[in-house]
Amino acid sequence: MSAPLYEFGYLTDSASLAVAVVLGFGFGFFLERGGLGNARKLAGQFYLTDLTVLKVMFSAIVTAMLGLFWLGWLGIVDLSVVYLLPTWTVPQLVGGLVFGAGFVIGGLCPGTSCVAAATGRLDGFALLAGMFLGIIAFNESYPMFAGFYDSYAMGQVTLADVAGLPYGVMVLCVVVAAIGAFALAERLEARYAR
Amino acid sequence: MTVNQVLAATAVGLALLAPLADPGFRTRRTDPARVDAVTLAEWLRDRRPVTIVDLRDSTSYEEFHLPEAVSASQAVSGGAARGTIVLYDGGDGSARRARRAYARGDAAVLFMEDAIGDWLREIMNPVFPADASPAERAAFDRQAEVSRYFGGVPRIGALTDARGARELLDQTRRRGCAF
Repeated sequence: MSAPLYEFGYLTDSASLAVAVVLGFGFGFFLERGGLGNARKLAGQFYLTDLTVLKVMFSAIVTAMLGLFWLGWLGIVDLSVVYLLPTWTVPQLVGGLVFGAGFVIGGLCPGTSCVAAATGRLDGFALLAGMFLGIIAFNESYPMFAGFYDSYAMGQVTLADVAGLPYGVMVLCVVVAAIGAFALAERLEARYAR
Repeated sequence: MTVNQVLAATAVGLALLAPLADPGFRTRRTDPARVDAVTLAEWLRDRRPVTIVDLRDSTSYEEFHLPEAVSASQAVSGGAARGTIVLYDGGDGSARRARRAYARGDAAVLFMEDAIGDWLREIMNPVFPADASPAERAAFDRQAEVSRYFGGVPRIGALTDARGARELLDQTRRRGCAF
């Protein structure tokens, strides 16, 4: 077992930050190359005219999921120490709705707003400014909703844990769902694209 | 076939094979380098050569530490350490990451996460369910024996003890048991 590299001491704290910067540049580069720095393409997700975002994100999820599963099966990655973001169901649902509203209004999400700004788009800069103002407002008003923020905690759970299914079966289910989503996306684009 | 078609076929193939993978494979795998509190307590009771290193800050170490543990600032990485080296942290995962730094020769370097909490719950204040099966009872007897060796108080209760390390530490102190 030798990965995650940071958890097993192969990367120091500073080295892991340097790796994060490199991965961040790579992430932004491929988002931009995939056209996800364009607000019209991103907003098309919500009008069902362009579902590139769904295809890119679901492809990334499937790639990472299969990679981690089989590397874990081979004993290269210790999945028990891969960090899982804890789940707070209702607060995260509300957060998702707020995120979605901002996404469809602005046409960009926080990550792609960085990509758009990096390519000189003014709407990217506007979204970035709004994001930082939102962060400040969130921190200043946090005491008002701290109780709700920490409610409905489920800890670090996976789909397999919640469904009570073996991990391998859940992997197959997610891939089947991805294939279905891609097929549906093609039909929706054919019907609603102008 | 295009590149995308090849990738898609590969993904589908790997997904179809996934359910056939080892049925014991789960997302939560036990790391063979991790040692639990009961095992460590038995090693100490049996005088097995082991060096326990506390990776927390000196203030936390002075407040409470595992029996025979030395603070990281006093420990030697390799060198004079005897037998198995066991590292523990305060729950930040540093013990796992520090294993490579303490590795020397063929000596095993193991780690414990949340060692203080586990020690207080499993050794000093273990709680066993009243409706345990015979196999569970045998495991509990082993744990109870080592608990009493270190001055712990095994109890039988209906609920799993979910008290935090701070609360358990305060209760342990009130009994007058100190390390």
